Amino acid sequence: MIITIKLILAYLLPWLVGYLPLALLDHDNRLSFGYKFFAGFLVGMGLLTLEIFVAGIFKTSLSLQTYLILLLINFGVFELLIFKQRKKFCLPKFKLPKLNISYSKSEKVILILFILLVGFSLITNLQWIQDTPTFEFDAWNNWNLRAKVIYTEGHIPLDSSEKFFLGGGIVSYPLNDSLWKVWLANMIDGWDDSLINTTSLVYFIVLIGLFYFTLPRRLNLSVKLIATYLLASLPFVFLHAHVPYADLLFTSYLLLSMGAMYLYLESQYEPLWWISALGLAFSVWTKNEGLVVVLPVIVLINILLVIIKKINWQIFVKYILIIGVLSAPWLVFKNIYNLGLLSGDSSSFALIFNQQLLEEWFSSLFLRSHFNFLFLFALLLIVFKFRVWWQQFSLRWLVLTTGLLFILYNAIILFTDRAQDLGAVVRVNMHLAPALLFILVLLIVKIIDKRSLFID
Amino acid sequence: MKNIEKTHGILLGLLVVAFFIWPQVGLAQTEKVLLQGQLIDPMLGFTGVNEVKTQVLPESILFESEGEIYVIYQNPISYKEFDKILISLKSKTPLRLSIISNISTTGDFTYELEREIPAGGEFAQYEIFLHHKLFKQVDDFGIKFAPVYSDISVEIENISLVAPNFFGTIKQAWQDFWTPASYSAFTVNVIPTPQIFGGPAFVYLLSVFLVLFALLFFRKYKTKALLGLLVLWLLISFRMGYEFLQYKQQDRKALANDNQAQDFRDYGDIYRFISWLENSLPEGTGKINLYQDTNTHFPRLLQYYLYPIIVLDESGDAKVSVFYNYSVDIENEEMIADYNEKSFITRSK
Repeated sequence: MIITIKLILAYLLPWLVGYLPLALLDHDNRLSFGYKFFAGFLVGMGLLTLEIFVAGIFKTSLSLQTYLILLLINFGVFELLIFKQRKKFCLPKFKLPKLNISYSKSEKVILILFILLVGFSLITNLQWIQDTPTFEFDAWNNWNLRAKVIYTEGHIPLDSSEKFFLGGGIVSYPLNDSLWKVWLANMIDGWDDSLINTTSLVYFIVLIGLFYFTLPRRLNLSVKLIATYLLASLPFVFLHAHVPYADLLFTSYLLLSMGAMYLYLESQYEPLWWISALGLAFSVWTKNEGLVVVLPVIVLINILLVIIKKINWQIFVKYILIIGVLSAPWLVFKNIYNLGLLSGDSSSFALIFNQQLLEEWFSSLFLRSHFNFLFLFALLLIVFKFRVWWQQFSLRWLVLTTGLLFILYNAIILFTDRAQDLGAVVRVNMHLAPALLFILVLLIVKIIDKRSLFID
Repeated sequence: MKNIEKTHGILLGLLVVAFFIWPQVGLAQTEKVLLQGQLIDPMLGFTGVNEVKTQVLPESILFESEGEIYVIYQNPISYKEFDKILISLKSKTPLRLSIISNISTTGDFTYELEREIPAGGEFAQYEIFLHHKLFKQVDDFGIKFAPVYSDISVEIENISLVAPNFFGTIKQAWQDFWTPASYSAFTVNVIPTPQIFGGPAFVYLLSVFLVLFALLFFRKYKTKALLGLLVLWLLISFRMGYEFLQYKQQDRKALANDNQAQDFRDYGDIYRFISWLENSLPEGTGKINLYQDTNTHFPRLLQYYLYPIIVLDESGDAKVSVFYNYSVDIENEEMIADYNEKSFITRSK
């Protein structure tokens, strides 16, 4: 029981610290509590692990005390800033959604079904995590290994000649997920796979929660619940909810960044722009794809936005600055220690056509049930309903960005010598699944075009 | 009048359908018997990894061996000719049955062509559908009986090949769709099923999907089309949920404390061994030499679980050595603890 309470606190404290900067940014209080709730976890986690990394590279012991001190400092700083802004302190007001009696019968049925189906998948995954040892290769060879080594040693091993430099594993990978697990281990006072690995389930909950609250508010409950269920039911996403990898976390940060950008272009509410920058910065801090694939694409698209005067260049510079400042500790460290851009030797790559992979690649994404028929459906709809998404600027941005990311991700696999096989193709495309589903939902809503889909 | 016309239309439609499917239904199932009691097709042979003892009984043939047994049919077949194999047998011990295409050359097999056979005292018939790309055209095939433990004692009453028919094909498609992959087939990178006839099942649902997609463009049908797509999504979703529940159940069975024999996925009993090792290594052990050649991943897996104990390879200089599934004479070593006769811990004298 005490362990459970400690574990809950381990999630709650950083979440609180993540909520506060979002509350600070949301000066007009236009963002829903739910959005700030789920985004707050991602921001709080990213801030905490980044700060602990900086502390660690200055040879500070990564004990529980260090983590707690950092949390306290963050809490203090953000509360002071909020006080300066609003003349009062801020604590999140937990608001459970009212089971509004004005919901229609069908909405109530959909809500109950949603709770049952998603609840069942959460329980199933939780049991699965509890019952099974850490089995997946990159979990015991990288993500969990580094966390366990750093936790056991009490510091980040910084001798590059040592076997367990940065915790061992694949040293070019960022340490967000691993340092988070160190925090969990510190809180529960020991390394226990069955407890540490629950973090994958939390990533899953945050992802679907964030997705729900990123959907336009004008959509009614049924549409949002069905859309969120579609995400939660994606087989590959479900599978990763019990696998201690960092892909689901990365997917969440990417959704945070792209979703916030979409909402900003819709509403012109500036805080969303900064939230997008935070999401992108922490995606760089989570997986190498953040730096090598996502960052260049989103920056390029945003340069285009500046050129066509959809955003002004000052905002763009601030966007880059936020990303730069938050990514700097890891990127500078990476550069100094010459850690490479990707896993393995990334000093060069050759352009080749991996024809032998084409059929399997197509089958994996479009015909197999990794993502149900999401990719095929979304692609066909984007092609055949070109005018629909082109007409709405924010949706156009989202489709083009997602499309470019899709092309780049898959081009690396199909047209370079970086991928010897299709081992990672489904996993990397999972990063785009929420954005693709988001586009799909918006397009379908436009096609169906019924008032009943919206809140009055 | 309109209703009568409608009824006539429906009846006519049913007749047309019946006309096309009746020949399939009407024909008696064509069977080719390969083994029936003591009667054995001349192209059928038997072999095994170790010595195979056979005994002809009144209604069946008994096979016993300390290892895998292969029943081989040395004739070309195709699933267009025979798309099902029926095997009637009973086994004293649990075993795994697999149908292997081109067994004398490429030896291809897949989870759809495997069955778990429990131990039992009564004959039971197992049907395995061969409508799969691996059986498009084969030169020969084998039926492999693999023991779950070490010995096999299986009595085979009948082996027959059955010709395809319409309903049998539909039945196979339905069964294929709901058959999860055998346990080790899924990874963090890929989920291998559902499949129908050896290919992605969605290919067979594609026409339904495309029709529903097309109907989205028609004002009159778009809402119904969307509902149809949602139903299709739910079908696939529940099917995949079923798959994961099967995996979860397998995991649970493999790791249950009273089930020492069952492998965990494709890693054998390494996790049981690690658990034993964690409790059996002498206190104060800082490093170990690991001797194993079962799996190239195991040294790193053990390193993760044993850290901060450092896992070295066979050339390491640790005083404590760990042997896993390794046959070796330990002359200058003192036995500390043993997991089994091939897995133990020693200390140099």
